[in-house]
Amino acid sequence: MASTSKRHLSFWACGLALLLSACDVPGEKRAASKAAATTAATPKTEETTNKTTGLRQLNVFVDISGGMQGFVRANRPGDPGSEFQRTVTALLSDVQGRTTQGTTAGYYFVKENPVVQPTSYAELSQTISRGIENPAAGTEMPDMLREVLKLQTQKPGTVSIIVSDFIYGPKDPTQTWRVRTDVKDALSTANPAELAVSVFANTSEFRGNFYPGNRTKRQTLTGTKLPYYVWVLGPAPLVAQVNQQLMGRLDQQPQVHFNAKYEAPTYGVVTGYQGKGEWYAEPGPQGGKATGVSFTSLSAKEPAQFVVGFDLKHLPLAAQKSFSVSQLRLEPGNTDAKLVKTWAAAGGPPVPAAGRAYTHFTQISVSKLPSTASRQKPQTLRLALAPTAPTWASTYSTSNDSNIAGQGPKTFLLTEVLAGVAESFGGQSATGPVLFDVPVALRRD
Amino acid sequence: MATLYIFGIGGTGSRVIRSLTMLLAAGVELQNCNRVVPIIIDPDALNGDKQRTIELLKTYQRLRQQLRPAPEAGQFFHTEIATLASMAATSGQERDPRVKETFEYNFSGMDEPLRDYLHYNSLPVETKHLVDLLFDPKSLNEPLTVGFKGSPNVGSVVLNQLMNSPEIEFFANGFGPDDRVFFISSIFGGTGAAGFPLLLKNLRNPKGNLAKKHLLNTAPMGALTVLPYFDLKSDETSSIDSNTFITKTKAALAYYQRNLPDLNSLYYVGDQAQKQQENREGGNQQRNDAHFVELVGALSVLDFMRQPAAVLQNDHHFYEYGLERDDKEVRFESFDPNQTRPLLGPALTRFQFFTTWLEHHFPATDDAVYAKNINLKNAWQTTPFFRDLRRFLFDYNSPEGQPISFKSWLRELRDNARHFVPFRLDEADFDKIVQGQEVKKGFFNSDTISRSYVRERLDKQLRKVTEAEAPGEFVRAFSEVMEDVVDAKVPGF
Amino acid sequence: MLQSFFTALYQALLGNPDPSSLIPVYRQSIFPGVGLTTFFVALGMALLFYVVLNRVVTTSFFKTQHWAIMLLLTAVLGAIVAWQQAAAAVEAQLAETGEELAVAQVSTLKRYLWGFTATNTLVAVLFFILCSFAVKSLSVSARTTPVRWPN
Repeated sequence: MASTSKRHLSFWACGLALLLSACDVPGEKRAASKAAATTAATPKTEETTNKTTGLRQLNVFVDISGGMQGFVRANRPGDPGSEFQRTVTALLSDVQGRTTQGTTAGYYFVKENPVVQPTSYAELSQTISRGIENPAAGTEMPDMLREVLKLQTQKPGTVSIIVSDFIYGPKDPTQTWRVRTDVKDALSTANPAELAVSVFANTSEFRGNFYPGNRTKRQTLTGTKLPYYVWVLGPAPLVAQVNQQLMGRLDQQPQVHFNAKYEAPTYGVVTGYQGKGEWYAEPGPQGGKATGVSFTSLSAKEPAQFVVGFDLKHLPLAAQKSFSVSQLRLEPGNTDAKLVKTWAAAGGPPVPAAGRAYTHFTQISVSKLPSTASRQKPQTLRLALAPTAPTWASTYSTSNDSNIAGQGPKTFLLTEVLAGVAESFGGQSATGPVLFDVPVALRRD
Repeated sequence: MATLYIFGIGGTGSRVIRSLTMLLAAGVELQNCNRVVPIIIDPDALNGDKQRTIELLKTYQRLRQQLRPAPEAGQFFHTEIATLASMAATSGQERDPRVKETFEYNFSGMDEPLRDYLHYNSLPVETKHLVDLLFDPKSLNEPLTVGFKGSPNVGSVVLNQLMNSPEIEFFANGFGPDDRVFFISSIFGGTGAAGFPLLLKNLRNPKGNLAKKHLLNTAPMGALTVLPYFDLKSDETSSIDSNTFITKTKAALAYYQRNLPDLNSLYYVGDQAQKQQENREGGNQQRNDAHFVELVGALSVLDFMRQPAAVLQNDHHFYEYGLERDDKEVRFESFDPNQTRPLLGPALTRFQFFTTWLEHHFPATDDAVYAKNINLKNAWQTTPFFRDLRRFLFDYNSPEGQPISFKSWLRELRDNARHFVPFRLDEADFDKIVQGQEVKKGFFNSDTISRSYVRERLDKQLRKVTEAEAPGEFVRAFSEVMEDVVDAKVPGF
Repeated sequence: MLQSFFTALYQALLGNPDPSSLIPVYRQSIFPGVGLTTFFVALGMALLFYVVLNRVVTTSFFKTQHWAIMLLLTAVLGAIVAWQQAAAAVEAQLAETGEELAVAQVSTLKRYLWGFTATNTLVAVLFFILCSFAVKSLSVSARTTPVRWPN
């Protein structure tokens, strides 16, 4: 008998060992593999969208009329070159760099007749660094836009970059009120649905003759800072791509984007970060990031606070800057959800691992939720970010540039020009459509 | 349905029937019949041997009646044991109220002395003298209830009464064509020695007035005559003197030689006395321990039944029994390996295993499948069947001094001389139970008969049985399992 | 399916996980993981008892008290599985999200983990009983343990 019972014991031991070894890992493993799967999925989708839209052609137009000569002076040895020269040369170089990545580049002088004149990268770059030797008499800005758009529509997948002072003075000074219509008409030659326009402003020291837009007499400036602009025109996604990849050095400058469309940013409710109350984050219907919140108990006595994080890396810096309580709009639906505060990752409370993917955060408080807000019928609140109105445009604009040296960096009728652009997109104001508009599903657990 | 009628005459008849009952319980096969009707003829109403055998037979009968379906040949309790009265149903007779539901022939008027029984005082004087010549005064004056005290002369007188009894009438009426008759008696005592030739003569009497005379005249009839196998301690006051056994035997044998023409088979069994029994004249003090010779006597019944009727009829056979080895302690090994050993060994071993399991292993396995399915734990204590079975197997609830059990039978056989010691009694380990045929342990103990080994088989046998089927299925299952176990494991069978 | 079953099972006995920020971990990983593991442990133990110990081989380990020992063992394993898996998953989750629990939350977390361990002990017992009845007919020598029904 004793020997048999020993045998039982060994059976036991085997069984136990098997069971124990089988039981301790699965939870962890599953969690790990899930995380791997989600991180792998996101970049993949980005890649595929890039390929389908495909930036195929980059056209760069540089205005070399007499009015631009002040930006591009011949330099003496040791001169650092003007801001304009440095910026534009670098931009051209970047564009040329793109040609090795499957995009062809076209370089054009903007002159009087013909308005656009093809050139090479080398010549264009030389012209800018050495100075304009035979300046053109001046070009009507709407004509320039028309020509540019004509070239652009010839080849799908083309983005045009125009560098100019964008001073548009009609020959007949009594017709200055037409400025906005002329600009609108010029842009209307392209299908507005397939056009987005980004305008970057910059200033550079100007040495030479300045021809005021209101056709008063020319002035000679010796280093006064004057504005010049880089316009990016093309289909919205391509413009966004070019802005992102090539306009980096103008990021910090005043800018405005028309008809821009941005992919909705990655966002999600961040667990364990500045939260309060009884809730948990829940992934959206397709899984992935937590775009919902489930409350296990919620009342006026037990209000909840949660934080939604956004990854705004792909938005223009200006758009990122607009992320604030005033620009972020919360549509609370049937709830009493309110924005409490917003902050950028760098400037707020230390971000836990769960929020590392996000650049910006907003804290939302809520204490009321319809009892019908179930798993099947969640209450949706929406978070939308409106771009900041480009207030700089009115600062940069003047209706009388006859004494530009005394006025500082201003451009004749800039507001009118930009208004014309806006009108070509159906009266859209420069504050434009929202940069994103995302839902957050609230439900009772 | 062939029946064997056994007339067990005197104390010896009772004792041989006791052994026979044990063999039948163990499943030893009694061929050419499926029912045994023992009729114990012993005028000594209080004889202890008789009482015990009757108690045993009754218990067997009760147990057997509850086994449904009936056990198959070779299984425990296969052969039915019935009382003469209960034969009414099978022979199509009406029940005779004078025939009692008992295994013994009921003598009447046996509390008077032989003198009164013969109406001595009213006899003519010549007859009185004849009586005085045949019987000594002491025999004449003592009541008949204490038996014939080793006096065939007294016995023969009284047994004549039997022939006119309703029992014999009833027996003759119910006698069937395949039935047989067997007589068991001792040659050296009183009742048997005289009674059996008398009985035989009357049953075969072609001029008699018994019913079914033609059947009785042709039916195979056999007899066992037990020759002296024990001595009695000398006792001046007792009317039985074992020194006269041999003399009486000689006289009887001489008589048998001439006067048993109607007997088909006659079996002689005897042994040299090895031990002196207590000298008991009769009454319930005459309860002799079971003896090996009685077991051999029981074998004669088996042998008689084994013979085809055609071989027996109109012929005369005489048999003696010889032990293969003249061991003082008889084991299965002592038997003829072709005859007695295969006949007794496996069956008794199975039954001993059965007993051992229930005594030593059941308590530890009372919630195993086999037990639980038939609610054995509870039934064991409460149902009549299991209480009877326990009495039958190991003296459960037996009155003091009245052990009828298989176990006590084996114990008596062991302690008597010649000793019959096939088993180590009270040994719980199956491997060691059979003397001289111990199970050798194999590699990893694989060949041994462990409790688990047996239990697994029982569990399989009784896996779907319910309480309602308990007695029959229980006996069937144990019979089969023990058969498997003994066949597979015990060497030498 | 499994997830909602186990969530319903554990939450019926235990209530919502606490702190609530860990609810998804419990529902998506711990409840089904532990529940399933516990089920297989219970099934394994039942098979070990009924089939291995009482069919493949025949041992004297077949009685009701032996079954009770298995039950107890399953309960202990259930507790171990629950504590280990839950603690590991919670730890992994906290590490992944970088969430830092307040002192009060740590004690609620511990309380819930203990509650979960106790509950899973019960669940293990329940599963073992269910599995016992499911597999007992496969057994030869324990098919009536702990009770004859249904045989």
